[in-house]
Amino acid sequence: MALFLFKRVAESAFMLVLGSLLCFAFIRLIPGDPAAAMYGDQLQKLTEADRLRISENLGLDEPLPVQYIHWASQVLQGNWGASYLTGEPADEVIIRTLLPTAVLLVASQVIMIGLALFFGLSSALRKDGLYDRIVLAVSVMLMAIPPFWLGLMMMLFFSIRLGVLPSSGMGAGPFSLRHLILPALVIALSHAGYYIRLFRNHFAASSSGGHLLALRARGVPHQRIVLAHILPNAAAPLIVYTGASLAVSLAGSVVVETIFSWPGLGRLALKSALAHDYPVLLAIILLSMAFVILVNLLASLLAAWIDPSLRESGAQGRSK
Amino acid sequence: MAILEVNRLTVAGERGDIISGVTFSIEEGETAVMIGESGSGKSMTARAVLGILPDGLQASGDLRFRGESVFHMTERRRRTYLGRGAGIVFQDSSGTFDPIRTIGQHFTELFSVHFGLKGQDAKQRALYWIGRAGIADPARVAAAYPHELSGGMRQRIQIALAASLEPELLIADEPTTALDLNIQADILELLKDWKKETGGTLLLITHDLGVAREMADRILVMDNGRLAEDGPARQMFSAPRSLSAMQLLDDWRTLGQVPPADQAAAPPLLLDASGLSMSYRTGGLFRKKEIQALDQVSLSIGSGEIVGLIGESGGGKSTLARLLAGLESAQDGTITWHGTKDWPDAVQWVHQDPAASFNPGWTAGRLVAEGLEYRGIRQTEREQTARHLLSQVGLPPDTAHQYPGEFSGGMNQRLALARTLAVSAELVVLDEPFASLDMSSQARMIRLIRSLRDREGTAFLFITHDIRTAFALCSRIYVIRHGQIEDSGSPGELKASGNPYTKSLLEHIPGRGVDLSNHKGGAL
Repeated sequence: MALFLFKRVAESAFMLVLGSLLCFAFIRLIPGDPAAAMYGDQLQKLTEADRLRISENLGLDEPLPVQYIHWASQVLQGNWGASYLTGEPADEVIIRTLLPTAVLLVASQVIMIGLALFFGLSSALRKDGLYDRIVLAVSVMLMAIPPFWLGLMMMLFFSIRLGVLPSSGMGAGPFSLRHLILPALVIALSHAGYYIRLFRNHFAASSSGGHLLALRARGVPHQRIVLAHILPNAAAPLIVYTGASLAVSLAGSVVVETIFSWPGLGRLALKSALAHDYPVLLAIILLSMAFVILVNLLASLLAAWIDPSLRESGAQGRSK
Repeated sequence: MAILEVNRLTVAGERGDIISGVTFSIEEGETAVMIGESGSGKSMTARAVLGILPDGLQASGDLRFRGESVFHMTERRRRTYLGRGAGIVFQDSSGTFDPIRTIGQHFTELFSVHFGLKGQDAKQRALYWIGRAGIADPARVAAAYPHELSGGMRQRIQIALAASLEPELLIADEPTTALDLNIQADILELLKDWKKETGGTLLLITHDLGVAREMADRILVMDNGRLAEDGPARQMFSAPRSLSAMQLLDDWRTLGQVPPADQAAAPPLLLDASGLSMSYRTGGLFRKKEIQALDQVSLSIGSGEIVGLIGESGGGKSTLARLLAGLESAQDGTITWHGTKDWPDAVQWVHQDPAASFNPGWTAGRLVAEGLEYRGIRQTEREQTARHLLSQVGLPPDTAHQYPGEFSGGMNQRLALARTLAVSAELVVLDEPFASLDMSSQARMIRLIRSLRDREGTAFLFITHDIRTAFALCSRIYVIRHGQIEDSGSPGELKASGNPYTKSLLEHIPGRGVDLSNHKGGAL
């Protein structure tokens, strides 16, 4: 187990370094430059010398590898640089958005996993029946609907037509359930279709194993077979997928937060990208990456704890 | 008194009856053995008796356990009937355990469900039953997960699981199939012990007449969903009444018969391997283990010779086969073909599970002629050749348009052989070709391999753990153990061999004591 843990942690660290390198390089490919974004209309008035000075001030004139090493050594000392837009330290800008995004992510995950568990298990138990087909049709439809359209439609229906739910913002105070419902629902629904299918197939696969027949033949009640054997067997892969789904939801939050003016990380990411606010954008990407890797690491540890055969394949699989 | 009465049992599926009107009864305390080819309805009968048929199948007729109708049991009553009334041991030992529960948990769950026993009491009882299955270290095994045990161990545990509920009737469905012969013998011994100690009733299902001969008081012969014969074991073996029983006996004798020794002079040498050594490193980063798979192995195969390679799992058989097929190269030693080092392109390998080695999206015809594609032969010609080759291995030429998924295990083995014919193989390596075939298919394959050798002059290397089939097929046999050639010679020489390992292999042939010389019937 220690070896398994060591391998996974080493893998994670490597991925983080590689990811930061790629992001650092690719971020420069976004058309436009920070000076243009900062000064907007007044850009015409700037001379070539002014623009060069801005670049120099920001340290953008040096070769990319030098910039990266400079940035990475700063980050390792806990200095994320200052936002080009506001001049505040990047980490402070980000920390303000963490709570709203965390609330949104947790809420959408709870809804999504709930839906996937309920519809996945119930349709797997009635495999190939009418109910299973209806669930299949609905989940395929959910997969096909783009989240921004779903968001706009729900906003149109619940906020404008019915007027029962607010259309934007987080509301006053630390936590408003009414403001949370729509954005969380949109993120959950836009991924639920895929996860319902996935969960259903896993439950179906784990309910056709020979050991279930053996349990039945030994007089173990059906209810116990479902709860003590089918569910735990399906749990290991499902936990792994749930870890992956957090990453997907985090990515989905960029669009949804923007539509619903949710003051979270996703909206900040979009804003920083449009403004070429490199320090903030890099910090967001790195943080998201670390978060996703960490969640996946925890998920695979949890799965290995449930399923003993994963422990061995993880530790020895590739050494043969 | 009859413990189980089956009256006109019919199991109907979508495509017709799987079992039609089977009637028999099993007396208290006897061992009834149900034999028949695969697909004859043996396992389905067992599942019908327990009321655990697959979805979509419907049983009708009358089934009585101690006079009580099984079909009319309440759900609650059925749960005590299952396990405590009638217990079952399945063939596939790895698939019948929950992979994420320890062996101990499998026992304690049953004790909690059936006896309301929990905690330490249940654990103690589990250890007791694991110990009774002849396992030296019950505590360690109880803490192990199913995948950490060998196939033989798991099968012992399966029997202990069934026995721990103290059933009145124990159904064992092919409990020894796909196990090494010496482990098969242990499992049969364990079942005998169970019977002796508890006086219980045993219904054993097998395709192997050797097993039947060793265990049965009474024999039920199934054929195509019907009961073909039902009578005392002695009678079935000495004077079978039904055609299916005669056919089964005939197949069994094919397996028990040693071919006449080659009178001709030794054939020209095809392959000569000497001093082959191979070792693997396994284990993780910190605990490397070096396993000597082969240690200075020498063997030779003549043109058109059928040579056997026998040994237990893990003895080095497959490693040697991979070296000879050119899939890996040896770390030490030399292999020569026709006295030179040139590797002929006509060495073919037939996988243990041929279906797994076929592209499922290709038709049988295309699979057979694949080798010809690489030689640039035109399609119309390939199709003709494929049809011809299929008929050579006893498959109807029209199967060329079918997919391997529609074939039985025996048909897939034939298809694999037809592939080797397409490229006129000089040597065909057969890796445990009979592991998943029933006895009758084994006998048919033996006849086919012999006739291919006679017609095409192909040499075969036959790898198996089953000394019986090796005796029936091979003119010369190597016995391999722990990566070394332990013994070698013709079947006759091996039978008289003083080697203790060869002797122990011979002792484990099921039903070996039977004398068939006074039995009349179609000879080969």
